[in-house]
Amino acid sequence: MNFYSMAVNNIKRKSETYFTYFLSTTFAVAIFYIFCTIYYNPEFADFHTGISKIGIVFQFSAVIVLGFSSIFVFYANSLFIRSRKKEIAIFSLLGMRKREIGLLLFTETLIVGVCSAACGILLGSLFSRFFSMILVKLMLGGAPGNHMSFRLTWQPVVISFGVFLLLFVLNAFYSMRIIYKSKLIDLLSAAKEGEKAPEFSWISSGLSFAMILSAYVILLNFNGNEGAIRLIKPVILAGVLLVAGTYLLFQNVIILIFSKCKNNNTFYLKTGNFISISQLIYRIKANANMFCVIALMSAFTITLMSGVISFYISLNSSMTIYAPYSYLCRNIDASVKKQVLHAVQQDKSVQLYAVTDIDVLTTKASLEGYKVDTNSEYGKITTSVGEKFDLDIIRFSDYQKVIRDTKAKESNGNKGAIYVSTLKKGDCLFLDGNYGHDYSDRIDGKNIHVVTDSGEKDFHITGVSLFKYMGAAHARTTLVIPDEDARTDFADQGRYQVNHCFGLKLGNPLEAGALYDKLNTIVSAGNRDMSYLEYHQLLFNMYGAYIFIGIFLGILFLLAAGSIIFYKQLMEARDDEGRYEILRKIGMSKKEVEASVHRQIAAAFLLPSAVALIHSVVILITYQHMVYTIAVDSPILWYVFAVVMIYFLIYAMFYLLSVRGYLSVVWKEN
Amino acid sequence: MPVLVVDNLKKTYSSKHGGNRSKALNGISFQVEKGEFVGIMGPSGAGKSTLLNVIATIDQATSGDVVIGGQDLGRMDHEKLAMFRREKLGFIFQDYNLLDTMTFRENIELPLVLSKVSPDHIEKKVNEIAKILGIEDLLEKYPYEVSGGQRQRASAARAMISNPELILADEPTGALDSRSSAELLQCLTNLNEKNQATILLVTHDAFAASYCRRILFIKDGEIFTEIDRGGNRKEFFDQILKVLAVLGGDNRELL
Repeated sequence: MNFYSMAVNNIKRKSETYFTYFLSTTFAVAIFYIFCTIYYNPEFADFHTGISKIGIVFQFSAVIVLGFSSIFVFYANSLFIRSRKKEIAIFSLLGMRKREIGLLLFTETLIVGVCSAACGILLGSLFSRFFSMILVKLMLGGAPGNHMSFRLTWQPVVISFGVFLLLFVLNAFYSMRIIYKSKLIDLLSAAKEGEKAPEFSWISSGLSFAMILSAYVILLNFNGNEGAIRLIKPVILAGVLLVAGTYLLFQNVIILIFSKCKNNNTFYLKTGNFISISQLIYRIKANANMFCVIALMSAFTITLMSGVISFYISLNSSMTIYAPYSYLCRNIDASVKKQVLHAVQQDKSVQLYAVTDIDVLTTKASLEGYKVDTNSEYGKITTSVGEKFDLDIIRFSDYQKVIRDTKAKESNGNKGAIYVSTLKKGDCLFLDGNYGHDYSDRIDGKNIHVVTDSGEKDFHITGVSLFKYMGAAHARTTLVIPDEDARTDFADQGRYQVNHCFGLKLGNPLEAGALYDKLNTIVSAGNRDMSYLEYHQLLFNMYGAYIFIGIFLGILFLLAAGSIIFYKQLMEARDDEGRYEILRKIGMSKKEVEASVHRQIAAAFLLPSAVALIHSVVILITYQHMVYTIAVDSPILWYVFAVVMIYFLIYAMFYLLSVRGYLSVVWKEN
Repeated sequence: MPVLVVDNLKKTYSSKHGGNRSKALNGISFQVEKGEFVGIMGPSGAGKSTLLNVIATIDQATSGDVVIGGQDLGRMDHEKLAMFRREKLGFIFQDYNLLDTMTFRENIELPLVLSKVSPDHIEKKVNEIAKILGIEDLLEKYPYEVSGGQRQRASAARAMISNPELILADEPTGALDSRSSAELLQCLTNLNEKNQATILLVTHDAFAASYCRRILFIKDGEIFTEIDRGGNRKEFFDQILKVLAVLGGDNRELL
């Protein structure tokens, strides 16, 4: 027996404790490695995600993985050390020098570290090809794309191994430092001294509710029309309030609730409740900080995953907002039009579904209680309420052709197309160019004053929608008026600016890359919009990468949160050993102990997740408000539900592991 | 030369806020010769555990000297204390303090492994000691697989294995039933008589104390009296009970 074999023995015998630590770190290394392989893969170098290259995004994510892993490894490590103070004391009593004890722990930490780094890299290498393929698939989003050549390079291996090894060595040093600093007598009595218990106060309880509620109010009142930069302040404010409120909640309110349970004798004095509640109060005081961290981390995870997943899934349906037509030209003359149609007919691989050829007239109008606040190809336009604004006019027959040709969908809210069979003289449909429905909500049924040939004329608004019939980039507030009104009131075309729109709708818009290239040579750049495929690539390249990263980070966070609770339970089991020994001696049956342990651990898992769930639902409702551009109603809450189910499934696994570990400590069969 | 010399030992605890200084040891002096089996008794709070902790180098005294085997504990740093514990001291605790992750054999081997003794010698020595303590069949078991009495004997074996100058036993029978207690105490007596081991035993229990050759009674941090075992164990036991009765008041628990 030497130090090395002692270290190996320790790990072997504590394999159950080390298992989840190993699992989480291995997973972290694997993700880090996969992100590195993507960063170093030259094939990905050409992909862009929005404004930045995909490599940068993955580099950034790898740094997040690393930062997060450091915190996790550090936390798990310090829990380990604490649970082993007694063991260290015995070693020390038997005359082991601090240097030797330090070396032993150093060796242990390093063995586990090297193993998980190696396993993580192996796992990563096995699956990196598979995951790169998935990433490409996600980024193409159904569009045809080139297949990636794939080869393993040495940089990711060296970097992952080096970086994580450094992390483990740092932690090993930290363990050594604890040993050097500790006194023998403190080590021997370490297990006996409990963690410091916070006192609850009514003021802090009230404050925590106030903070969380005001964070919710701020979140739910986000104005989608404001730019991202103006949202930074309220986002930070809400975030701080939410974090502080959650912290106070666990420090005070939860303890308060359980104390109340304790005072309620009819509830408290039932066997099962008695034991688990008294344990829980003892525990929750000590665990308030951990619960808070887990709750916030879980809220973040649930939000992140539901957010990216629902966004990605709804991308396909939201394509119609950006590119209702496969190819859209404006103000092209008859000869170009002819060439375009000729090119389309020559290309046998595409199916032409419809051709729309309409005129859009621009005039001025004013409307009580309405203002324009948009940022489109016309530039950033903001008018004050009730002021005159630029208004597009299209005929009802043209409008019907557009919605028929683009297969525009209706929606439950007021985002989709309005389907009506007739439009009475003097009536109109109001297609709001704004992104949010703050102004359009108030105008249904009102009259709009439009500048016509014969001065201002009122039209009665019978339908309102945020529908972007020509794509979001060209959105301007538009009035659909009956054909006869258009003929009589807007006969003098010279008075108005007229845009001539020429849209092609293909049956297979993603497979027409060659055609778009050809058309681009015919139509000059100023007269055409991006093709359906270009919009598609823009969206999917960006969000495909984001969903990939989001899912991986989410799973990593989930695993880490689960294993932190697991460790904490296992450590507590050691402290509780004596307590359960006593309970057993005074006649508690195994069944009763099991029930009590189940309840106690369930609370440790459920409390933070319940808080997390409420937080994330509120954030996601806000999110749903914010994703105003999605014409079709995206069932975000359904995706949340799916994510939460998966979340609880993995959590349940950790719960069962914890119960098993706990029982094996407190109930030993002799 | 005596194995242990304790000279005017004082230990004062101050509460965390600085005030309320309480004296745990108030000038204790005594000596233990080689091969002695000495008991220390006294009511709760008399300072027994503090005394043992100071002698065990776990705790530091406020003033006074402890000299073991000619070496003054006060003049040693951490490094030297570790070496000192390794070579000169053996420990037996009420709660055994065996390592759960190791078998009995490994637990008992540990002090010799730390001293880098040759493997052949270690094995010989372990078998020898296990035989004396009657646990030679349990060497491959883990602590949680056996009874408390057996665990305590393994812990005694670990304390003995490196032939320390002094064995310190802190309530070793505290968690044992009377039969296991008697067996363990008999083992300690054998070690004392056959191997010339010097043992210092702190206990509450008059029965356990009756196995000693000499007993120091401590009250309020000072030595109250001491008695030697003249005749057989039964007589000594009665003698102990008489002293405890004189010690008075709060020591009914001792009976």
